[in-house]
Amino acid sequence: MSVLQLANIRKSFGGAPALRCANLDVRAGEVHGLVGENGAGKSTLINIATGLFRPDSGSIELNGFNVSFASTRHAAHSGISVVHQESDLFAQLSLAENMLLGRGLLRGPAGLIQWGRVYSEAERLIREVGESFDVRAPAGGLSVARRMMAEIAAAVSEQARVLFLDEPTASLTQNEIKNLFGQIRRLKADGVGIVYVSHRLEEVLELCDRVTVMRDGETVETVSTQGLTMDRMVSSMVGREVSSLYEKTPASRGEVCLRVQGATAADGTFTDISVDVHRGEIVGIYGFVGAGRSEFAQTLFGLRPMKHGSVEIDGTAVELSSPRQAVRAGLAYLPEDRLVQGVFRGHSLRSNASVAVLRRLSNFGWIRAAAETKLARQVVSDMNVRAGSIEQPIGTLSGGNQQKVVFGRWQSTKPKVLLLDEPTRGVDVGAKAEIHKLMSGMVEQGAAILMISSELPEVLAMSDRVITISEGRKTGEFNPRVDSKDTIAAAAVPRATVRRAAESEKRPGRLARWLSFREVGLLGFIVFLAAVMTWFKPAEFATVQNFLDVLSTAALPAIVAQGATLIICAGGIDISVGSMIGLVSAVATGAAVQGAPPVLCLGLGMLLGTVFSLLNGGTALLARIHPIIVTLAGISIYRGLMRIATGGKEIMELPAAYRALADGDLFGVPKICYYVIVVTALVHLFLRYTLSGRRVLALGNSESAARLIGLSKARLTLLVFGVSGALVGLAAVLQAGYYGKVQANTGEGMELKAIAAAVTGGTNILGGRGSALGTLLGAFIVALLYNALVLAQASSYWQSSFVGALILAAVIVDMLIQRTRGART
Amino acid sequence: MKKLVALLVALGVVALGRAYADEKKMTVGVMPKLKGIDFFNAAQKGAEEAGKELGVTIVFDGPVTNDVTLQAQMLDTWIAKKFDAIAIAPNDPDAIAPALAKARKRGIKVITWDSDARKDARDLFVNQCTSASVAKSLMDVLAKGAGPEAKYLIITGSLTASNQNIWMKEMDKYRQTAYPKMLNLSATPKASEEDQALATQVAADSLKAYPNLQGILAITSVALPGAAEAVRKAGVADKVFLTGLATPKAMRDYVKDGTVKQFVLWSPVDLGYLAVQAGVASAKGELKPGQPTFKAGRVGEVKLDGDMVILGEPVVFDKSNIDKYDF
Amino acid sequence: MIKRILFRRESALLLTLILLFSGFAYFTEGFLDAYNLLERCRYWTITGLVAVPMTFIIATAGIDLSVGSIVGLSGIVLGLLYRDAGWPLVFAGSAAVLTGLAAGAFNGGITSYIKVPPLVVTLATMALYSGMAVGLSKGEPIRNFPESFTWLSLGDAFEIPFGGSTVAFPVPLFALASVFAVGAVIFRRTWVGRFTECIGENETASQFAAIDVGRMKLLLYTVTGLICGVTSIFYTALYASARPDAGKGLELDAIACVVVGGTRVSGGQGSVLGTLLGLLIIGILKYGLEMASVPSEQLVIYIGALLILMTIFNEWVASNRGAKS
Repeated sequence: MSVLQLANIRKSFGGAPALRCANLDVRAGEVHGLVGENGAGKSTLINIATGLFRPDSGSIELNGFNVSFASTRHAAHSGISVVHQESDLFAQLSLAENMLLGRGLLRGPAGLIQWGRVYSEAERLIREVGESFDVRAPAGGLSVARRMMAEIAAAVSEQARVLFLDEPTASLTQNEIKNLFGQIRRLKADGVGIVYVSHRLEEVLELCDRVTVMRDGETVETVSTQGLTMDRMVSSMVGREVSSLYEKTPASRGEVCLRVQGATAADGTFTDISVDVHRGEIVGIYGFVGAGRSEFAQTLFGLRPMKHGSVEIDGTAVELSSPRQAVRAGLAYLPEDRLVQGVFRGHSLRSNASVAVLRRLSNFGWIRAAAETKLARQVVSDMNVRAGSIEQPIGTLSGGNQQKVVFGRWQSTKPKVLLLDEPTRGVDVGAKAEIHKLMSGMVEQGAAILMISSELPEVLAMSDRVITISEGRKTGEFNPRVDSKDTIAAAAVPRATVRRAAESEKRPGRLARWLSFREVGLLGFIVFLAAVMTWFKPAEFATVQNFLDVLSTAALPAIVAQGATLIICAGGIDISVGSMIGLVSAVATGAAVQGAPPVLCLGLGMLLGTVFSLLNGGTALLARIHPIIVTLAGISIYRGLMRIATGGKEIMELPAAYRALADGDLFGVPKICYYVIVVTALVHLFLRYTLSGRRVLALGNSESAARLIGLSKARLTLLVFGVSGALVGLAAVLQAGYYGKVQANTGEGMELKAIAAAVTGGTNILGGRGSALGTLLGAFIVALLYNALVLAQASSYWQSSFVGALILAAVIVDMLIQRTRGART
Repeated sequence: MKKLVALLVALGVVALGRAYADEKKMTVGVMPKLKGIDFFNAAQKGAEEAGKELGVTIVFDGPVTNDVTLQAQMLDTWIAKKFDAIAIAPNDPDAIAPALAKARKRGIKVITWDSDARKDARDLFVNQCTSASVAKSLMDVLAKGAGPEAKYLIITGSLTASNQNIWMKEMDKYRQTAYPKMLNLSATPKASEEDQALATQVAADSLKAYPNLQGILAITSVALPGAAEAVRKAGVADKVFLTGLATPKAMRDYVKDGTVKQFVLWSPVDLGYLAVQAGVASAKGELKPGQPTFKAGRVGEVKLDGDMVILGEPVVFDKSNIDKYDF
Repeated sequence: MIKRILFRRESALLLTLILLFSGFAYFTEGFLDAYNLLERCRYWTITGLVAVPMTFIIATAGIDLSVGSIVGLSGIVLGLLYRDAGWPLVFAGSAAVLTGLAAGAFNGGITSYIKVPPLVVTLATMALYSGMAVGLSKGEPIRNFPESFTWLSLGDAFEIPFGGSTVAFPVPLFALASVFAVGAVIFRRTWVGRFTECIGENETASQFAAIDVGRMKLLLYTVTGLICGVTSIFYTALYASARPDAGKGLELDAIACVVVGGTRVSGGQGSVLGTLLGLLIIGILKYGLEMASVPSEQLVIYIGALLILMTIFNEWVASNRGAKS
């Protein structure tokens, strides 16, 4: 019985049809393969089935009812879940949050997130798929396999009736795949319909009950796997016969070309690996992702430091401490992650092809244009790249063609040794065959190839010898013609008991976790500074009054900085807040002087701030330009408007009632301190305990991942700009009240103070991480430094350099701490 | 389409420009150190008053921050527009000199006011009062209010502000002879960067840092109200005598509530008025350096000292006279 | 072919410039004054010199907010060595350049090797360097430079006949022209420029393509500092005084030129020629509006609006070009 049925789906993007006519019919309790070359329309079809896109025409039926999904959330709610390829994730958020954010985390009364429940729920889900790992740790530190398992656990948790798995095994090794297949079969037994998308046809045949083949935006056929052969599938996908996927002509084995002895990584990812690769030989490295294989290759290529070990090429010892040295020594490395490590998407094919030999193509730095063009043409013809022109941006080519260009880039360095890391990952069948042919051609010409792959059939077919690596150690050397597939696979399997034990050790204790918070470090710094000052100036410094004075000084920048924190967390920036304060305070006090009641002025100020800030955010979104430019322009525009609004006059002699908004004490504490504490508490509550707050952080972590779970960038961006604007408006109204005057330069430089406070407080300037408490402490530290400098009667001439140096020091220390922590996990 | 957009932008901008174009009569450009502060707003009032009386066009414009480089660029435009005279309050005597020299080379009369430029770069300097007399007034007011043995410190604008730096030197010179027992507690002045919030903060911190402080001199029109706010908040007006330079309007509240008893300034309205009078007379050839006096409209006869026109003595403001001024 | 030239970002900018220029020339009296336009170039030199290395920095997806402060600090070093240590100006000038170089290298070192984002580093060093300038000089400008020195910025190289009389050609234009020419050639024609764009497009891939990213960035920030040091000489000469607050706001002016010139703030694509056109467009607009007696507070609004419009325009041209291929 069909659970999900897609019929006659059409979809175009900007006039270009992605799907012409697609049909998919998923039954309960089956594993349904979906195969096709890259660009055949598989991803579009998945995205339509899971609610990310709406089809132009066609119908979707769920359990026999016509449905139309408004969002991925909606689809997930209806029981259709998806685990995306290359699980793009929110690296700075915890694993638990990554798993549960898509379904809105777990919230208690008033819609506030209950973190205890979130963590225990995530732990439960992980246990259900038979795993156990720390769900509180940032997801960025996790291996791909674990992320994948966690995502599956999360996807299944929503009582999924249909589960789409997009290339789930691309980065997994045999053992992990086995585990995954176990899970899939269990789900199948529970009656879930599973759509399994993969380029690995062996797996499709092994796992699936039926297969749908796509080609050029159409579903060509849906057939049972019973009696289906690979060749049949391939020709159906490609539309013609493909001679052989693994073409390898035997080459004559020559002298030893690359000799590695006792290589050990400085960061401990691999230990004591020795390998010889002869000319004319392909040596396969097989092992888990995270077993240290990529790290090993990258170390050879000079990208990572090596602690012990020696490398010889053609019998000469070589020093490999940078990729340039490695290239000069005759090495080349084709990276595993094409998009991140391989291509320059916006640059031309020519530039992508020539980058590794560009210096050789130059005279005294001057690039010989003719030589470069010739080289690029050579790459296109040698690699059989299908492209319109060599000036075409490489991002417009298919994945396989991109990979061929990167391959050609390295081939043109005429390497003695080629290190290939997953050379055919995410590449369609046609290109895969071609890449294998190219490899074969290169060894024939006497090159030595070290190929890393987690696709066992590829390793077996292409390698002359196979080395297995597990947990950073070499576990065996095999001859694929002699040794069986199972022997080789078994050698790559880590000893599970050891692994589990190591995992649980890593889980940090309560104290360590507590210490890892940025706020604790900042507090430590404040305590240290306070202790020093108290020692030298007890009477002046260590008084409640002085503390309150510092807090009052920090208050206005802190309020603005809270807004800046939100915007920065979402991946934006606003450098026009200083001018905005000027404009808003001019209008608000203008109203006050005209006799408007203070509360009205406050409301007006906050409203205006919100409007201006929304204008900033809205312009950046609509015109698709970076907010730093919009707000750079905003600096002069708002300041100019302010000057026009005031007619160049200063506004003073404000009504006492207005001044009373900010000026004076309440219960012995300056009023302004209450404002900053309330604002900090609210922003903290928002960022930490509301779903919108977490979504803002998610957006700042990864825009693309945020889109996949159905978050609207526009809405979240406008939200943070709006809130920040309201806070800026508040600060503007208070500033005028507190200081009793608005002058032409009111607010000038506030943007830098706010950003400095946020950054000192641990907000990641690139987005995705930040805390309200940290920001308040950051603002407090800056104010405290000035206070301390004046109280210590330090020369005013050196004040600003001192503060600049201290902020820099704080950031550097934080960076170093983050890094050592990163190295440990 | 793209061309069209560009054309529209250009035309729009140009049309704006056209709307502001002026017809030709004698034109005097008056440039303050910066626009948007009360002191220079008052000076603008005086300048325009003189312009109306003399029947000349006054262009009053200046940079929006006290930046001499922006002044120099704006001056170049004025030179191109062939103004008849330029009256400028330069932010720096040397930095502005090359631009002024160019103006003179093209036959434009150059008057400096409020603060001077290098002597060879201008025709006349309209001085509100000499630096020595400003310094003397300030120190005398301080001595009267806080005693001749007062321990004090100074809050200035930015540490690079040249007028303030000259006054501070003069104040120190005068102190050594007139009040040798007075003590400046902080060898370096406290900076307030023309930022009232910073002025308040620095003053508040200084009150704590120097417990035996008896007087504060805040010598810019931004610093004094800022410091007054700090003194008022700390409630130490009886212990610490605060004075300095500021406009009466900015200080009215603080004088009335007793935070500040006396402070010093000259009339910026008269200063702007006199600058234009001198500029026009100079352009018409009616005023030349070296003459003993100059008849300047409603301000009356003013004295000359070489190539310096002197407005008069600074005014000391207090509760009794502050309501008489509207700047 | 014609279409391709038209759709080059620079052509669109050039067209804008020509339209602006001819519009002002037609409507605004006194605008078309060769003397005055050339005088303006003396000021454009300062912004222009800094904008060239800024183009490289922004093309790597970086930013340098400390350029103005480096100009100030280098100028003060020059002034102090000249006035207090009695160094000849040639040596004092070299010391200023070295100071700039060291300041830039410090920025670059922290950015590339400790991996602190450049926005944060240069935000802090902006305060640090300008603070040092104030501290070293005790806030006082250093004056009394000989005319032989100020000639660098204020002098005239030769006279050009113009409409019956002659117009003097400003000396600093040579510096401006040569830095732009060298910058443009390096950016467009050498591997340094190409690698700069590569780093901005994809830093990880650059590393994996055997580009020494750390050293490249260090180089770019250091050269930026060095050129700021050179700029400080022209700045000091232009205002006949070494000022601790010299270069204030220069970073924003330079960034505006770069952005109007079509270099993307997200990195990966840039153009030194575009930056030159950006400098001229902003300069002409400012000058034209001033000539048209637009008050300064309104002027800043138009400049801000221009910045946004030109950026939208550039993005639009870029996306048009993308769609074509």
